Amino acid sequence: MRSVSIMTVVGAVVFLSACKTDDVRQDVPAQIIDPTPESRAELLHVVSSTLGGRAVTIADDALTEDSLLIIEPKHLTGRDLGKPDHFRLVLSDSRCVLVHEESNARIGLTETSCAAE
Amino acid sequence: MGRRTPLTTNRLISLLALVGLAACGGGGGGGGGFTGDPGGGWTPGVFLDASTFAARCAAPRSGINPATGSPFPDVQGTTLDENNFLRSYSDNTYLWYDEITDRDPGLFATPEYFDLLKTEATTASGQPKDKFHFTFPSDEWFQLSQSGISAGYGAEWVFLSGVLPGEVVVAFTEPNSPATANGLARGAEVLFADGVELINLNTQAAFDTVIAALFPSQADETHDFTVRDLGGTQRNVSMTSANVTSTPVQNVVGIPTPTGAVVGYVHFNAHIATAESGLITAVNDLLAMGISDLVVDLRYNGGGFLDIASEFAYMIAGAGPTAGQIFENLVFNDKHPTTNPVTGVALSPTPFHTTTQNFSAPPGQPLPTLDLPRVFVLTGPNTCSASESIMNSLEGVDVEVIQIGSTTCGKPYGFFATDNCGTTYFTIQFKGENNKGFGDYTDGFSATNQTDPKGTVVPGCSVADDFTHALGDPAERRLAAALAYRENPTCPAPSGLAPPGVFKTSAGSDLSAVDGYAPKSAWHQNRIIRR
Repeated sequence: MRSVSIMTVVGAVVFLSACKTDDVRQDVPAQIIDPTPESRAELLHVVSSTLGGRAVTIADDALTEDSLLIIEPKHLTGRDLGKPDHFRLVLSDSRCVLVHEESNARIGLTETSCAAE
Repeated sequence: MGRRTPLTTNRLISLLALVGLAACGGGGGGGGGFTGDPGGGWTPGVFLDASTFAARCAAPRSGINPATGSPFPDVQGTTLDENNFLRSYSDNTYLWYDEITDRDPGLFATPEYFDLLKTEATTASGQPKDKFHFTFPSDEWFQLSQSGISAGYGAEWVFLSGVLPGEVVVAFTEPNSPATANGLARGAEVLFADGVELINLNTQAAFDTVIAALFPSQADETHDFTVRDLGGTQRNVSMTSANVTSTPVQNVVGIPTPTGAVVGYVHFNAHIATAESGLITAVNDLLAMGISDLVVDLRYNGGGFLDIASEFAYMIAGAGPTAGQIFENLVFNDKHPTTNPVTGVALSPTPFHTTTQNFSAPPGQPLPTLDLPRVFVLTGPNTCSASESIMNSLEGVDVEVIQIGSTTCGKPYGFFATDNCGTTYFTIQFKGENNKGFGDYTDGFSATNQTDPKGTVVPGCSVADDFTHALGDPAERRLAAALAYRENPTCPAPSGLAPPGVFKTSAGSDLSAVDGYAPKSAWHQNRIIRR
């Protein structure tokens, strides 16, 4: 019971924090411009880290023509009941930010140049 | 050793074989000598909960499990623990748990034991009832990719003998890929790969060389090939692999007919996330063409996300026959009539989705519909799983399905990938039934005139694959048969393959009438071996 209460409080704080920041942010869907080896490595690292460190294959031109990056299992079994993960690149206060839509995790990209979609 | 799948067509499976061999070597040999069983000795027919033995590993892993983001749960255990886990897990979740012969888990290495934890029954056609029992190294299985992105050349290979040595031809290519840049097209045959002749390889080293060349494990690998194009020109090609973008929905065309009606054609080759938006675009294009009939080419579609199959079935049939009906009902073994034993979620039927499901299109958008009372489906031995669900679900709501092609693979089944101690196990746990409660097509779907043995019969024509024409070309054997059947429901002499998995064994194929294996999905890859 005690642990549940603590988790509830922590969750509420996180939720309120998210609401407050969402109020002031202006997210604009964006695309990567002039990708570099460093920006590709950063994208790969951020996506992999967000998904628990799993190995990920991403195209060199990922997010250069679209703001949405869809990640799915490399291997499917044929009758798959799951759903893919979605990452949205946004411009937020002039920063390139990758948003994991399933968890609302937001990761700033420091090696990446982007422009509004 | 007793491994039934000694060698495979790509490196993933080669790794699997290595893991299997290593496990056999380290498993402690034959009967006796196993210790550490928390449940005591083996008592036939008595099963402790699988959690008793889970993550008790002969070789525990350490660090973070990338599949969960949490530390590996592994603790020191034994081969017997791993076998007991599989024994209990199978007894609880395997669809045909009561057909498993209960054997002493202390007498087997783990890979060998897992191979035995399945039904040994055969189907009416004489095939194994369970054709889909396999493993993967967990670190390989849980890898991810951008939807549709994989290392390769963008050429879909088909093994005409299902094994090597044998002929390998191109089924189709991806746009803007190394394959198309090098002029490869449907029907081109690979004669040599890195100096090894494919139809005459006879050593393990030669096999490995060909597999490594055909299935590069990453981008920027360069391999040399000798190919023979359809016109007979033989040439050398050096191709460098890349992270190629797969296009799951291709060749959306309208084919005019003598009566003035337009028949739509769409090549749908994988139920991956990007297929959702691709299918929506295709259906909108077909609507704009004013089609009166549709031919869906599923011959190389091994399935994938089931929700996408539901969406497409709805887009074909429309709301009329599907409203309130079941697309597919997942049925587990009789121990679990109401709850998914793996996820713990209450079971409920999958409906025909009328809106997008957040794969590659924004969720909740109404799907366009063709409202067709019938559909022609082009099939082959690689038409599998979710693709077969499209056929079965439409039949379940009395939309007429006309099958043109070879017998489908026969996989109404599914499983949840289950990791234990570094190996991911696939054991059939559920089957999909349509709105009429039908889901028993283990021998696949066969067209009416398919020569015996045949699977579940569907109206249509048995027609072999035709690599001498492009997909979507009205002269291509299967599409031509569909167009002719539409005008006059008769068939050419049956030429399709039945049952799946029995391929030609001699070289010199007539590429205008032959089938083969396209090793795309994991279980397909598991089944290509060195002869």
